[in-house]
Amino acid sequence: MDGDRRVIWLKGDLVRGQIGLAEGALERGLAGEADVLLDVGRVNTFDSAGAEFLVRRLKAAEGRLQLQNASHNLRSFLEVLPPPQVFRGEQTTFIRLPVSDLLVDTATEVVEQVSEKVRRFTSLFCLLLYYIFIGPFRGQRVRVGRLMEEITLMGVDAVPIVSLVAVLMGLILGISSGQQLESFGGEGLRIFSADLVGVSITREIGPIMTAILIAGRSGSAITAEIGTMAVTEELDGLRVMGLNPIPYLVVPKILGLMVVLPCLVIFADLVGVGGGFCTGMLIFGIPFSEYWNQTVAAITFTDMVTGLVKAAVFGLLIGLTGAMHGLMVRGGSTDVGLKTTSSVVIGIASVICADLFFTAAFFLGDL
Amino acid sequence: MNDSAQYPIVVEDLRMTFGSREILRGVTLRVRQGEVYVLMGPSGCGKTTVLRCMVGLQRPTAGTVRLLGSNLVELDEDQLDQFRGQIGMLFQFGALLNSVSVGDNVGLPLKERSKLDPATIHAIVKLKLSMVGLEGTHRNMPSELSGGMKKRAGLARAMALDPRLYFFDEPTSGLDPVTAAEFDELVATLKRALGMTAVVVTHDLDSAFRIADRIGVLFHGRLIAEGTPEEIRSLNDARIRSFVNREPRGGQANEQVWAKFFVEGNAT
Repeated sequence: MDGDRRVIWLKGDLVRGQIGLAEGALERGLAGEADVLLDVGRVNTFDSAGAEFLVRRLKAAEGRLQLQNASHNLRSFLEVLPPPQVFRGEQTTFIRLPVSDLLVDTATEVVEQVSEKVRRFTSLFCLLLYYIFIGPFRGQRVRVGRLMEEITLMGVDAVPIVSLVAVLMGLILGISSGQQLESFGGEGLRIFSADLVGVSITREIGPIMTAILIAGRSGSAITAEIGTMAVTEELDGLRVMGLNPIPYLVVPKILGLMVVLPCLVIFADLVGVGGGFCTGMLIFGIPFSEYWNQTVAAITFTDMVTGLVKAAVFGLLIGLTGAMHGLMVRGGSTDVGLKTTSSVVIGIASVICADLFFTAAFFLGDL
Repeated sequence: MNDSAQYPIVVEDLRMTFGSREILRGVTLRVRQGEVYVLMGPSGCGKTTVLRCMVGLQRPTAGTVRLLGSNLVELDEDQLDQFRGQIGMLFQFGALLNSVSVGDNVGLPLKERSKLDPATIHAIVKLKLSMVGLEGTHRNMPSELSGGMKKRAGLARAMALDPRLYFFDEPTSGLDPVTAAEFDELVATLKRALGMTAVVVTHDLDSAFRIADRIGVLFHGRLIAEGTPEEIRSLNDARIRSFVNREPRGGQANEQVWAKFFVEGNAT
C-alpha cells in the first residue's frame, strides 16, 4: 500500500459496548504522522453508537482518516448525519479562563436569580393587596364561589393529616416534658407538663407543624397546578379571554390559604393539647381535673391569638411562594417539577424565618 | 377609522428579540375585513410569536399591532383585558381548563364578561357546541375528549362572545387528514355564516391552501411573500418552493460532503 498510509481493518460488530477496542486501535493508528484508512468492509452490523464513533473520529482526525469499503447500509446511515466539519491544518488553541471570573459569573447568576424571585414575590404581593382591597371598589368581581372551593380543597381535606400529626406531637411533647420535669424535681413537677404542652403547642408547634404540612400539601399543589396550566397554555387561554389569571386563579388560592391555615391551627391546638392530656393522665397518672385546671391557667388568650395571627401570615407566605413559582414555569413538565420542589423548600424556609421574626418580636415586646 | 374598518388587523414593523436571538425582523401585514389570512412557514420561523403579539400575549420589542383601530402595544393590562372581548383565539391544543366541564369552559367568557343569566348562558353554550359539531358533550370533562374534539371545543369557546377577530394557532396540527379536512370545512362554514376575519398560523400546507384567502410566508422572522394561494403556488422563490413542495433542506449537499470520507479499496 501507499507509504504514508496505514490501514486498520475492523471486523465483526461495531455496536454499543464494543467500541472501546476500535477506539484503542484507531488511537494508536493515528498517533503517528501517517494518514489512516479504516477498512469497515467486514463490519457485520453497526448501531448508532458505532456511527457516532465513526463520525467523532472522522472529525477529530481532521482529514487524516477515511473509511474504506463502507457497506451500502453504513454509508446511507452516515449520510443522514451532519457531515463532520474538518479544519485541516488549523491550529487549535485552548484558552483557560481564570477561575475567579467563573466564580464571579456564578455569584452574579445566583444574585440575579434571587433578586428576580424577590421582585416577583413583591409584585405578586402588591397585586394581591390590589385585588383584595382596591379591586372590589373598581368593579372587579369578588370570587366567593372560587374561594369556597379552595377552602374545601385545602382546608377540610387536610383535617385528617393535620389531626394525626398534632396528636402525635402532643403525645411526644407530653412524654418528653413529663420525663424531663421529673428528673429536675421529682413527681411534683410532672403537672407542669400541662403548661409546657399547652403553651408550646398553641404558640409554636401548632402553627409551625400545620404550616409545614400545608406547604407540602397545598403549596406544592398550587405550584404544580398553575405550572401545568402554564405548560398547557391554559393560562394564555384565560388571558386571551380577558380573564387575568391573578384575580381569577391566584387570589382565591392565597386568600383561601390565609383563611384555612388559622382554622386548621385551632384544630391542631385542640387535638395537640388533647394528646398531652392523654400522656398526662395515662402515663403520669395526673387526675383529669388537675390537668385541666393547669392547662386552662397556663394558656393565655394572647398565646392563642399569636398562634392564629402567625398562621394567617404563614398561609400568605405559602400561597405567594406557591403561586409565584407556578407562574414562573417555562417550558415543560421538567420545569413544573423543579419549580414545585423549590416552592416547597422556599415555602417551608420562609415560614420558619417568619416564625423566628414573630417570636423575637413578641420576646422584645415583653421586655 | 375608515382604514380600521377595511383592515381590522394591521401589524407594522414587528420586531422581537430574545437576548441576542432575533425572532422577528420587521413583519408588516394587513388583514382585510372578512378574510382568512394564513401565516405559514417552517418551524421556528417566528409565526407563533407573531400571533402571540397580535393578541397581546407578548409585547414586541418594537413595532405596532393595531386591532380594530387600537394599538395593543400601548394598552395596559386592564385595557387589554377589556379589549379581548372582541377577539377569540384557538390554541394549538385547545387550552381548555381541565378542572371544569366542556360546557363550563365554553360558558366561561360569557359568565365572566356578560351579565346574562345562567339559563341563557346554557342555551348559548349548547348552540356554540352544536355549531362545531359537539352536541351533547357539555357535561364531559376535557380529558374525556379526543384531540380533535378538544380543538373544536376550544373553537366553540373562542366563539362564545361572538368576537370580531379570530386567531388560530396550528388548528390542524396533530389531527388525522380526515379530521383536519373537517376542521377546514368548519372554518369555511363559519366564514360564510359569520363573515369572520381570521389569522391562522399553520405549517399544514393542505389546510393552508384550502382555507386561505391570502397567505403570508414567514421565513427567519421576515415576511418573504404574500398573496392568494394561487400566487404563492406560482412564485419562483427557492425557499417558498422547497417549503410548498416539501423538499428537504440541503439533502443533496450532505451526501456530497460525506463523499470525501469514503474510499473504495481492494478487498482483503
